[in-house]
Amino acid sequence: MLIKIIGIGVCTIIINIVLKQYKPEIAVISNICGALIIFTLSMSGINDIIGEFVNLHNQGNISLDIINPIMKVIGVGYITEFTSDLAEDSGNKLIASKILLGGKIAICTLAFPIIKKLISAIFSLI
Amino acid sequence: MDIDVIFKIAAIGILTAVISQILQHQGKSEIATLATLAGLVIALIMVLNMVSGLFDTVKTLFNLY
Repeated sequence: MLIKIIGIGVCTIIINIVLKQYKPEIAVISNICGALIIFTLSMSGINDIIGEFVNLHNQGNISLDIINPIMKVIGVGYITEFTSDLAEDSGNKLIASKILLGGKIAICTLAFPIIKKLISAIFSLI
Repeated sequence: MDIDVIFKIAAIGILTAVISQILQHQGKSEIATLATLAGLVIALIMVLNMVSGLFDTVKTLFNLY
């Protein structure tokens, strides 16, 4: 599986360089396309990881309303990183950093219940 | 979902480049820009479907409803 990912990556890089001389805008599009294909190839790994999380929950020691925000944060983090790297690749660093800012805010709002729970647990100990 | 999509988009890019060159040498530069635009739109539509697929899979995978 990894060999396939490496092969597709190298092909996309070469096609990107060739297309950059003639048609820079379509080079960006082929860039997105390569990233998408590599992501869908690596999906099986992500499924196993999520299965591990569910096992943790089934064993009972981690409640679901902790695992759910974690999964959401991973998803949001991935999408934000995908778009901000794409923006940085095609040359506009400003938009990339703004997308990162939006992603950080979204992650903060997602993670806030856990922080509250943590603080209340600490206070209950004291 | 295999590598042939990338080759398809590369082919579109090179074809639009060649066509716009030919049209420009014939003196029809406005049609050349239209041809370039058409190639760009075709490639964009192909990628947009894949991007929406990506966002759907990430949404269902990490249950980000």
